Amino acid sequence: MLKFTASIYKEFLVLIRDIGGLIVLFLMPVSMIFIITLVQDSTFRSIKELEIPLLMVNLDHDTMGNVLERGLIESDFFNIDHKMNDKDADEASLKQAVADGDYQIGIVIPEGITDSVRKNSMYRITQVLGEMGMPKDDSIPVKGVVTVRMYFDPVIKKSLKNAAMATVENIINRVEQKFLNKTMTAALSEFPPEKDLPDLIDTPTVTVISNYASKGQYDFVPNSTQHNVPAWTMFAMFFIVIPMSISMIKEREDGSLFRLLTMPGSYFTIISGKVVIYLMVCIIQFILMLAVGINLFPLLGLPKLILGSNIMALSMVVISAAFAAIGYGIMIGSIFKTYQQATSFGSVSVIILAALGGVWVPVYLMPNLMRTISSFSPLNWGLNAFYNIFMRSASLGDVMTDCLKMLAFFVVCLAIGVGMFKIRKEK
Amino acid sequence: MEPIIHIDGISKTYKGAETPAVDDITLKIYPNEFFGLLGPNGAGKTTTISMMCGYIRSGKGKITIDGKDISQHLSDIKQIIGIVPQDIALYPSLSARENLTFFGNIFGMKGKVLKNRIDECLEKFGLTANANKKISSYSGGMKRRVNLIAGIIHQPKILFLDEPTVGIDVQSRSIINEILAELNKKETTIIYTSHHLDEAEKMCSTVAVIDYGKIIAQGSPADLVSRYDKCETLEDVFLKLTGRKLRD
Repeated sequence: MLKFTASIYKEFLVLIRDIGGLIVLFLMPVSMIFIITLVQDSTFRSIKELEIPLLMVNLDHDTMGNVLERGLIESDFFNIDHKMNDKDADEASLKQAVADGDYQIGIVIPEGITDSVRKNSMYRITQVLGEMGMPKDDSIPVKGVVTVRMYFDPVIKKSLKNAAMATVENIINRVEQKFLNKTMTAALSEFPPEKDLPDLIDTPTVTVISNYASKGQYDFVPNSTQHNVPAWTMFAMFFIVIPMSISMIKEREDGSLFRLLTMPGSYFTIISGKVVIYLMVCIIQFILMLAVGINLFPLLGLPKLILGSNIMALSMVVISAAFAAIGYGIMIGSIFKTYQQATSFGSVSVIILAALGGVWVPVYLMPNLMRTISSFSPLNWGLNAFYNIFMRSASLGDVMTDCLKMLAFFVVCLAIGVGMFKIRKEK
Repeated sequence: MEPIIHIDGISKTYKGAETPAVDDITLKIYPNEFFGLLGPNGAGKTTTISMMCGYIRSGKGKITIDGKDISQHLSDIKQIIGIVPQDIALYPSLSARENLTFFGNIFGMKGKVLKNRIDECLEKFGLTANANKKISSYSGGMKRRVNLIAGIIHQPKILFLDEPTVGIDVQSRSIINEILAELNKKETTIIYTSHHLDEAEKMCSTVAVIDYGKIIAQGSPADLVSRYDKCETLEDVFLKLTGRKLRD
């Protein structure tokens, strides 16, 4: 026991005096979680919260133009301007402003659109009523299709563009429907008995409510915090590979390992000191990340991290992920001969595993092949487990498969590390 | 008298090597001997010491230390041996006291006993004033002294030293040699490798010259000098036996 505690204390002293290592372990992940969450925050917010800058040229000045403009304002999606440099915008200047990136969206409502919609509605209704044997007014002229022109900044996200188009189309459809309703009411009112059709027609009979499915008591809303805290915690945990492999290689190079192995105790006593200390490091990293997500993010206007209620499952995931990261560190520290090799391979491989694991881009957005590859990344197992707890209120049983995968990964890496150590010793 | 170390026909060929690093060596080292294992670079000294202290296994042959077969009683043997590696095998970010406390703990020492022993050693090696400074701030000689203390902190019965005075000033070398002589007087068996042949001639009771993995001569320094013609010093004997060809 004395050897074990001495190894832990020695590792602790070595670690706390390695300023570079501490920066990599604690400061870097905290900085990254801040930066990435702030950067990604807008992509997770609903369009309503963003207020996309929109330049409008309304040449209609009638019902359709006014309703469309009011509808866009009331939607709260857009921050609408009509003027540029104190002058009313025209289509050419609007197009230029959007191309310059001054506005993400430009809308031109053409002159006479209301008149066109009104006349088309009357034409359609009288044609339909005529087909039904009612008097037909052939004097109403048919109008061609009128186009509302929308311009988009080329860098706008496709989802944002689709959302904006859907909003505009929805308002136009509603206005067209109103015109049809009014026209039909007017036509039918000429025939007894008179009915109050407009109210009946305008009242929606189907509504849609959206919810995020969750197993537990919390109503989780996916946001940048819920995504980034677990993602970057996993990333940070795996970055222990750098100080850990350096410490192992240093010990081997300077002869300390030789000395230790000629002293009472086994290789496992030496390794176990590292395992315990880096397990503590991972747990502290996790607590630090949680503290940032819960206490500091709200101060910056970012969403507060919601932990969920299953602390047991969360602890199991943290410990399993920490073991997976430690195993990887031991393997890298045993395979590579020099710090340079270990640090470059270690950092690049962690970045690759993180990318594959869904730290940057969610796995469901990846192509099929990448999704398959992703399922072999230990960061993906950890991230899945964290998401299950943070966003789906998962139980211990729900995350057990991912935890077992991570623990198996630790065992495999440790076995490779010990095997490499034995091979190197005999070389 | 029974030898404290009995090496019987050990060999070691590293993986991928064409020739053995150690080739059928047999040696008997007796209690309280100051034994010098001398040889050019790559002769097999470090491999022999590594096998004697159980770090690597011999391909064939048998090593008995203090009457125990190393392949069966390694953990018992580790308690009675001390190693001073060629490298400064210390943690640079830890102080001398912290390093020595750690190595003492590994030998099962603790509390006041360990503290007193550390104080005693630091005092003897002139390191008390710098005991709490990080090893990284030490001079080469100071590091060598702490490196030696780490090997003797538990007062081993047998001490292996692999070039303990390489690259240090005369003062540090002198104090190290004095203390080694004192330890040997107090019945510590010392097995020592060095390229300082004058030092070995002065300090060793027995030397063995090893080259290409084989022991090519063994005896007291005086005996070896008298054994070979035109040799006045151990260095003359060494050069006669191993030649002047440069080694890698």
